[in-house]
Amino acid sequence: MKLKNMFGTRSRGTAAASVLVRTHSTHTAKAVVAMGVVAVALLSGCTAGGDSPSEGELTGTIRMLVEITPAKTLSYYEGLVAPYVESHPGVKVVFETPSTDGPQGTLQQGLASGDIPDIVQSNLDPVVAPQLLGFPDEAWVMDTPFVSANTLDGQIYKVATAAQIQSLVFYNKDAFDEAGITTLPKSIDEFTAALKKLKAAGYLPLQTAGEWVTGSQLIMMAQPDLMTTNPDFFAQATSGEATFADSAYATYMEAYEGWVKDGLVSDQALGLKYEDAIAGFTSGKAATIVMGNWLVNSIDEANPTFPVGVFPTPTIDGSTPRQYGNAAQPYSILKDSKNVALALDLVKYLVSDKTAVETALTQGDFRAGYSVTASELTMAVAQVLDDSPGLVSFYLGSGSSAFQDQVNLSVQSLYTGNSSSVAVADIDTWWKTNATN
Amino acid sequence: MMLSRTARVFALLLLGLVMAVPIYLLLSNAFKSQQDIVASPFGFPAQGFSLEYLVRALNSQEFNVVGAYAITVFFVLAVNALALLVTGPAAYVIARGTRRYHRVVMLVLLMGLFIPSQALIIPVIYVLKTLGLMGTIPGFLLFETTLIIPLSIFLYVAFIQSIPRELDEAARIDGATRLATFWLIIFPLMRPVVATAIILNGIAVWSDFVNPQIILGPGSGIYTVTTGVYAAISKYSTDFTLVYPNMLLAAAPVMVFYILMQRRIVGGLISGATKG
Amino acid sequence: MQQTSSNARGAATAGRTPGADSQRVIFSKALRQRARLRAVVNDSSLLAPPLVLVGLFVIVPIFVALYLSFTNWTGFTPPTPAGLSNYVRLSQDRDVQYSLQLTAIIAVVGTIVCNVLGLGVALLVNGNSKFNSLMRVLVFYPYVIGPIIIGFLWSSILGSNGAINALLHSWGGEGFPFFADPTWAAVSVIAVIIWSSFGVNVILYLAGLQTIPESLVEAALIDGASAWQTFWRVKLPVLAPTVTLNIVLPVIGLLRVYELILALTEGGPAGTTRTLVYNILNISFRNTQFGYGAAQSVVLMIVIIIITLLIIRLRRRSEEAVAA
Repeated sequence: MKLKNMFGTRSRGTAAASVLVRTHSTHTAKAVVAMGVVAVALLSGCTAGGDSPSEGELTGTIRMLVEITPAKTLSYYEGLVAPYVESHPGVKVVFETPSTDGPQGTLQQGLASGDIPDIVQSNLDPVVAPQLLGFPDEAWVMDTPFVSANTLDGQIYKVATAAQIQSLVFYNKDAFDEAGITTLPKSIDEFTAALKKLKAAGYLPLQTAGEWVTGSQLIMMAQPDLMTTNPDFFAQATSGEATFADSAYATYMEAYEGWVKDGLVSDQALGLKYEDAIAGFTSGKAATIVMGNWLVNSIDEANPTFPVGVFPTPTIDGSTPRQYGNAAQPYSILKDSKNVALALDLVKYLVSDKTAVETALTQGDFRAGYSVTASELTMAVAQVLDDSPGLVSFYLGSGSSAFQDQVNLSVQSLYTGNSSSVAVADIDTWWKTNATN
Repeated sequence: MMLSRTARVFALLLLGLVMAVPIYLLLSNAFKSQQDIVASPFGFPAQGFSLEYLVRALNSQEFNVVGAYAITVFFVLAVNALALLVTGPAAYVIARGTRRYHRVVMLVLLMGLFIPSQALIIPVIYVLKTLGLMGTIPGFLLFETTLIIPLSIFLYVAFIQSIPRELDEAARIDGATRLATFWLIIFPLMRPVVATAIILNGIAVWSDFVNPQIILGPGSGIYTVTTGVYAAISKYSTDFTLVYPNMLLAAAPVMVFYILMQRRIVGGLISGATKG
Repeated sequence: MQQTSSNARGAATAGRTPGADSQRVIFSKALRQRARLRAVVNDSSLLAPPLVLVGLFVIVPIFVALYLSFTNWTGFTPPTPAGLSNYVRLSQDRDVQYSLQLTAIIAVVGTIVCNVLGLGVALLVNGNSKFNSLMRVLVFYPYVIGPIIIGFLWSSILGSNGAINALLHSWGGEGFPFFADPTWAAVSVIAVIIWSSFGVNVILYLAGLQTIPESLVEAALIDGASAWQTFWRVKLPVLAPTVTLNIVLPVIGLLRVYELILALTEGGPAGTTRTLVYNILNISFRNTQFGYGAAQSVVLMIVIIIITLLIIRLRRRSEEAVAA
């Protein structure tokens, strides 16, 4: 389940950055990234086949609502569909950019006003699943990652192009050397100690921001512990057997509260946007940042003057965490689209055609059976994935995006003086009032 | 006056500064590069001014400035025309009316002043959907017209009441219908108040954001100046070379129009307020 | 009125030829009644268009809002009944209570400051000089540009990387957390709201000042009153109706602040600058809880109506005192 607004709705202004085919930074290694054993075991094992698109049968205009991020720009999407459009005369793809509510909010407004796109590229909250087409039980669908996670009540409501992982800490290697950190921290306590050393060395230890970033960073850290301890957590939270106050969320919130009090995060973070956070890290001011693997592109593009590394987010007991992962670049089709056949064909191309998938993978995501030239940092992330004992997902039920909003608010309230116990209690209160299943 | 001359001058200078500085920023930063804006936001750029950002904003795919202006001007004119058609004759009836129900009708039409449109927008979606007008220009125009009925009725009734009855009584005696009397006798005299109404309503329609955003949503492909500038800027708000030029493009024509017409506008408001 | 005159005429003519006259009376009465009916029908056909529009888009939606507030509606599936649950939730929802408080503070503080500023500036720029014209333009232009652009403009000035903070950073200092800290953010938001609204008050007071008869002011000055006393005893009372307008309009407008917040802070940080309308539209559209949003809309409508009636009634009393 993708976190809403994970990609934000901001785009880098330096438009020279039309990242279509990833070209080089000095960090690019012309090496081939093979899928790790773990990834292969967890994702579908078959190689993705790409069959040639049918010619000349399907025409029309497709409206695609897409997620815009610093890395996924309009040019990127246009390049992504270009081969399909070229080989299908009479087909036009129009991209729609979402409002600040992101694709989820924009789609919901469109549904309310009766004005809907044909395809949506986003990890949609299953609350809208009844309005979405169920993908057919065909090979190209079943070959995509996270099929079961993308299914609700027997309906496959979205198909993923690839997989992304999010429980990552990117760090400034020079800063760690300067601060005298010789081993990478694995537990929360070790992490906090490292942050303190970084502060003493004059860095902003952990880069955080406002918007959606605050809550998402906490989820990235806490979700592995939450789901590993109790895979049925969300169902139990609904039935009342489990509470957030008694879960990993509470532990991480407490640690976060400590970071705020000790000045290990910026007290002005709430005023920052996602792009400011990227700039804060790549400019060398902040020593670490917690973010999903999509950050790799932005880091490489910014070409920092220091080497960047990555390690998994800290766990409560110091073990290596499973990676919180979910569908990357997934597509859903609206049931009431006027062009379902064409939409289906286009999505099939985007998730199963070799060229399309390779283009998509330049975003730094992962797919079984694909090798892609990638930067050092991508390889480092792949290594983290290899070394992890598995994957966990987010809350897959209806209302997940609203839940994320609440977590975001709760974590943000730690900056404004709330205690972590109150913040977590807020989440429990919200869950009781809102969770529908 | 009550303040000494120096105090007065000082107060006005301070006021002028506070009001003018944002405009100055808007103007100057639209022509500077990102580094210049960040390095010296209030000053002149090191490399001189450049038109490139403004040109880029003009040509941007995301915010079609010219198109947005065209459609917004069209909306302003269409809504004003509709409002006049709909409220003019009614205002005449009410202004000349002596029965109780005329008062009641006036009150009902003034209700819109107290009910905020944002509270109405959600059920209005429901109504428009039922009528099949959601997401359509006619639906949007009808709702906008309804929103400006209170102000229009208020202004027109007050004005018509100041027109001597004998003028239209004469036409009535000659056998003219109410409608004809209104358009042929009263309306030609209403020019000043109609101008005021057009200006005030025009500003309201022009700067309306919520209603076009929701009724004509992003999916309809129709962007007014406000929804367009919102769509263009909100996603890129850290890139000042996009933010400032777009804002300038959105604000400049209105500002110019306002400066040219300011005596009319301010005068119209003043006369409208005194009649109230 | 017509009734009495026809009866009078009927009585006057009744004496002469009873049959023919009573027939004429009845005949004329019928004619007059038919004429009246025709007038009413004619009137109605002219009154109908605006009434239909207001009926469709104001009155019906009010009832629809009421109806929706007792349902759960996602916006794209049929509404399901929910009884009083939305209202119960409203009374317990801390977010809603917070936004109510914030909106109330904005309305009260905003109205007071805007009135003081509005009157003060109006007095300062009341002349007809070019300079005063310029000041009037400067003061009123925010209203013309609209809240979205104003919001973006000020967020570019006060934001973390905005003009002011960039300037401070270039001087080596720390920036101000205009939008990063909740208290700062609330103050900044109110300040921007006042900045963009008081121009309307200036204009209204200018209009009101023009209604003050010169003779009254001169008489007071001749009687030896100081400028200050002239203001309080002579000008202000005459301005009473303007003051009412200057309270009702801003209060209603300030209770509805939304676009400015959207462009300025998006309700942040941590949701601490969310006004009531922001909550309504946010809750409904982002969380697909239109029923809950409708309930909040109902509350907003009631609040505005109550406040407006209260203000008008209170001011009416003081205006009557003035007129006396």
